[in-house]
Amino acid sequence: MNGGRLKVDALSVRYGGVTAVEDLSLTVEPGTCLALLGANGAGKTSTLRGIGGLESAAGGVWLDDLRLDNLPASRRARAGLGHVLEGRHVFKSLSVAENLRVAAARAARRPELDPLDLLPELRPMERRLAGGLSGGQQQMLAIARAVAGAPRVIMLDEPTNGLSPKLVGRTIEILAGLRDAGFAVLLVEQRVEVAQKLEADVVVLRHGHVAHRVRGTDPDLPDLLQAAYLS
Amino acid sequence: MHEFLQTVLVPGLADGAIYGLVAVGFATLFTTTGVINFAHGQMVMLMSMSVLVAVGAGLPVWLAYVAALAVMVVVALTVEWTAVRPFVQSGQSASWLLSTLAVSVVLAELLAVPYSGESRNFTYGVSKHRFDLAGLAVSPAELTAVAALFGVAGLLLLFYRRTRVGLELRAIADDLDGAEAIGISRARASQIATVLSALVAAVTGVLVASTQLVTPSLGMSYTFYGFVATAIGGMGSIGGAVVGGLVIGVVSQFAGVHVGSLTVNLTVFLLLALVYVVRPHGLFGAAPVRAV
Amino acid sequence: MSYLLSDLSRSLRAAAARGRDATPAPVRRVLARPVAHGAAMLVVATALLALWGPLSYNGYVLQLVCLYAVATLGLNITTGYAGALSLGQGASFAIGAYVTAVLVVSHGWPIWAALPVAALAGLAAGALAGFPAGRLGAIGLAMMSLGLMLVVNDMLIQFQSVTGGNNGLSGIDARLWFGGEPVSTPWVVAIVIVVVASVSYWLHARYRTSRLGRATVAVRDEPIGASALGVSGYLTKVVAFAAGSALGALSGGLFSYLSAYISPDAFSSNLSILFLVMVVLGGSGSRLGPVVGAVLLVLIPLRLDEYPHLNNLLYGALLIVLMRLRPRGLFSRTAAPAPQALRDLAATPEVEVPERAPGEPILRVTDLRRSFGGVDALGGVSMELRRGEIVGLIGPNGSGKTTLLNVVSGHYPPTAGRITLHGTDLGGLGAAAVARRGVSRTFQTPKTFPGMSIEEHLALPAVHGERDQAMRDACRRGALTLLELGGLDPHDPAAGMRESREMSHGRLRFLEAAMALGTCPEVLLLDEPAAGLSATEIEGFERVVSDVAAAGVAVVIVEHHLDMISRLVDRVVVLDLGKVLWEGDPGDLHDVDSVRAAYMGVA
Repeated sequence: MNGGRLKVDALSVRYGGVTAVEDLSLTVEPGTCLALLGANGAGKTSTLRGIGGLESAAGGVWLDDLRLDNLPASRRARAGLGHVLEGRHVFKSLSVAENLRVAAARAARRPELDPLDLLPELRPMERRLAGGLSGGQQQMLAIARAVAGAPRVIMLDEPTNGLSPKLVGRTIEILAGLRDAGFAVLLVEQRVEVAQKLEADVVVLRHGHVAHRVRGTDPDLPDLLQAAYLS
Repeated sequence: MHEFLQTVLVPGLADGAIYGLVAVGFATLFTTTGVINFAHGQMVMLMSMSVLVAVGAGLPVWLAYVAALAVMVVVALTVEWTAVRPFVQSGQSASWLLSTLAVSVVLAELLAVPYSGESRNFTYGVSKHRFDLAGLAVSPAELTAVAALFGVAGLLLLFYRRTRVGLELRAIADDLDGAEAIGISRARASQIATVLSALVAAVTGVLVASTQLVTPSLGMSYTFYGFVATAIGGMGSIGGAVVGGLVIGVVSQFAGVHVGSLTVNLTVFLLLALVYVVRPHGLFGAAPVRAV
Repeated sequence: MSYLLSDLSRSLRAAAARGRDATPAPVRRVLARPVAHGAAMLVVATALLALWGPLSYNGYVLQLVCLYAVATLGLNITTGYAGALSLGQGASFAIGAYVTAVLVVSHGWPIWAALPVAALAGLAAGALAGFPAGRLGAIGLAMMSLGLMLVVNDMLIQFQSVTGGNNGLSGIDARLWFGGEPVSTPWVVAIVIVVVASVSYWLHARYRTSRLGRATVAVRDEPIGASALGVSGYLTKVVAFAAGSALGALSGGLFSYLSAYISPDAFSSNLSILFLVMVVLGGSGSRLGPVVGAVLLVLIPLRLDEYPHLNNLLYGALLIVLMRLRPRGLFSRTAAPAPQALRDLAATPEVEVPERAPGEPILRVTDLRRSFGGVDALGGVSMELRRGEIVGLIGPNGSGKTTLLNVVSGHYPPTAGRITLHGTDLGGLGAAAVARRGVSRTFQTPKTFPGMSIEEHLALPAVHGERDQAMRDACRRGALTLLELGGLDPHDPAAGMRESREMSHGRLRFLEAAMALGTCPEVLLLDEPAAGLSATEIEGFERVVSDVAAAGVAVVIVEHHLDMISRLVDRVVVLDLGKVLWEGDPGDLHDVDSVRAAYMGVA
């Protein structure tokens, strides 16, 4: 079994005097997908960075029974919390293969899912430098890199950002593959169609607070979202 | 021609190898942490002095080396904690500059305590007795210095390319957030890079001591020469450090022999100014992309 | 240690504030002027000198403090104001000392001629070292200055016939005329030292409050923000290097006179570091800090003189501790006053707002492209902007909105395509040049200057080129309204003196926009100005934008608040994947399916 359960309890993230996220709780079960939607500045990215330990945050974070919130980011990642950052953050001067190798889990836990099986389109470019890849290819590499670390939960921050419609479709396929492989998938998105197609549970954020919790299949979702954008 | 080879090229390459090793030490730390250690020249002298002091205290030579290496590692970890880790890939150059400079001042002063800062002869390294090699008088120490430069640079390149830890250090250098998100610890990477750089300084220290008198006050000069080599080669480039070091060694030796020993620093200084005017990012460095 | 330091500085500041409150306003204004500080220093130092006598030990220490303070103040211009870390102040000091000594010993020059020449020599050396180094980052500057230090030490020995080599030069006496007899009283040198120190303080403080000084600090704090206001960085660094070095050399000249004998031993590289520690301990960039640093670091080591090595260990350890615990030093406040800017703004008359009517096209972008590595951020964008028009630029994250602003404002050169303002090409110009042509902007994260006062922020922007009076008044009025919206009362002088680092993000946004209006731009580019603002604040902001547009400013606004866009703009341009996806009336936006799909993924 790949997945573990991610539980976040009363998370708050503050920068200086500004509160980005306040008192946010959520749970992602293995084999399911939860999507955080909302306008820019609603606190989506801060939520993921807070959970991942890249931003200091208050509140509890658990992976199954393991408490993560007092660990530094690198330890959380090694405990099985995969994080595909906003803006890809691939290692530009390393080749594609090296990007995957440096991320590969240490001997103890082998990934049950080979990242190149999930993303075969990366195979022909294994020897190319990541910095020379197109935006879409870098995004695929960023996802593959997270999978290579044998995570149990995968957080993805706007994976479809800046992609052409065709690649958006491909990304949705990949995310569905991750979910069906048993990972718990926590997704931040601006495009509601991604959440709809993945039939994800949706949390709509507004000003760092939960505005709605609905199913991605709910027909009212686009209208709720438009309302959250426009207010 | 023979005179040029004997008086300029041979000693120039030997000195250049040492400047190159200092630059390689800079590059080792800089690639991973974005910090240049102004105390690196003092670390070089610390190795020579530690061996001297340990032997002077009655330890057998091999044990003196072990003790000196232990001192290097301990000092490196202290430097890492005080002056490197807070500034890893932070871009706050003024902060780490001042911090490592401060470490340099402290080390320089401590180095001046034994033997009251006087120069000492060091006989526990590679022999400085010259022999004839294809008509040129060279010493094993000079040959070892050049071999060590290429050896250390080659080993480091292999390390960065082939080993997992090496890849991790490069990953931190490329993208700190991305590296932490896949489980690479910034603190550990910074420690590893600092200790590696200190080990390069240890090799350099033994070679400095083998080729010349040990003068504790020269630490800052080594920092400067090593930096000029770095500026020529490009920040963080190991190959560039090798080339830069050898160039400075030969050029400064030429100036020393044909113009006068007091113009050596001037020549190297002018070389630095020239590099900055002509190619500010060095021969092998790339201009940074400015981010708004 | 950290508590001790912050306690000390807090109690100093509290005492200063108490003193300020107790003084009547006119007196306070006089006391705040650098000339008053300089005069006070002169009076105190002269009184102490009279009390102790220039030949006593205390008198000697006092003169030493004064002359070290001169070098430290100079270094504060280079390192504190310009942020260019110099390890070469000792070199300037040595140059000044030797120039003075040679002029006096070999040529019999009088003190009033030798010292200025020494300062000029320092100025020249600083300019020479700063010229290539001005293009470099902090590391390059530090290394150039370190190299200078090593070279100067060699040269002192190399030119033995002039400098006396290792033996040095002796008989450096003060004369009043060329070739005259040395004066017999030590008072001449003592008075000169004290006067030079006081005047140097005044000059160094004036430097900070001058237009050049403000530009220097702005470039130090936020070079990109400074360039957006038309301030370019290179010259400020070179001038600061030269000015700092001149004061260093002047200080060296005084040292020659005080010691009457100099040799290369006196100018080790530790001297440079000592000056640096004085500046950092006192508070790099503050005006009073370096003086305090010089006093402390002359006095304390004198107590340790009998223990060898301890002095330098102390400097080093102090610097390590400072960098970890209190990197900004004892006096951490670096802001300076510029009350005129705020007064002028507060006096702006009410203006009549005309009806908004976009005029002729002024900015034209043709097939603009920009790629980063393999990614095309802009894939051929063409658009036009008319005088007095407000255009809303929207699109999903990563669609190229900010890149478009960055290329137009000159922060990134375009990969291909043309940008013209009034028909002239802007394509090859840097950001500062574009700003001076009349294109002003704000950034997603406000680029303000943390170490400057609010007043100074407002004094920084200047209007370049012709603008009619109505437009100037409208811009000033807009800037004033923005400040008030940001919670800043322009009639309260204390508010204007706050450092912007203490202010919240939202307030900085208003301050930054006010600065952008301070240049009275022809084209104003706003990058997500409403992010993080409340509904009332957004409303006020909209009014300002609308009013300045009515006066003729053309505005491009990147925003995610679609309702704000639909209320405010004349025209909407939707970007997606670096291309213009749709362009038209904001009222039609919600009905266009492709826009909905791209922007919100709402199919």
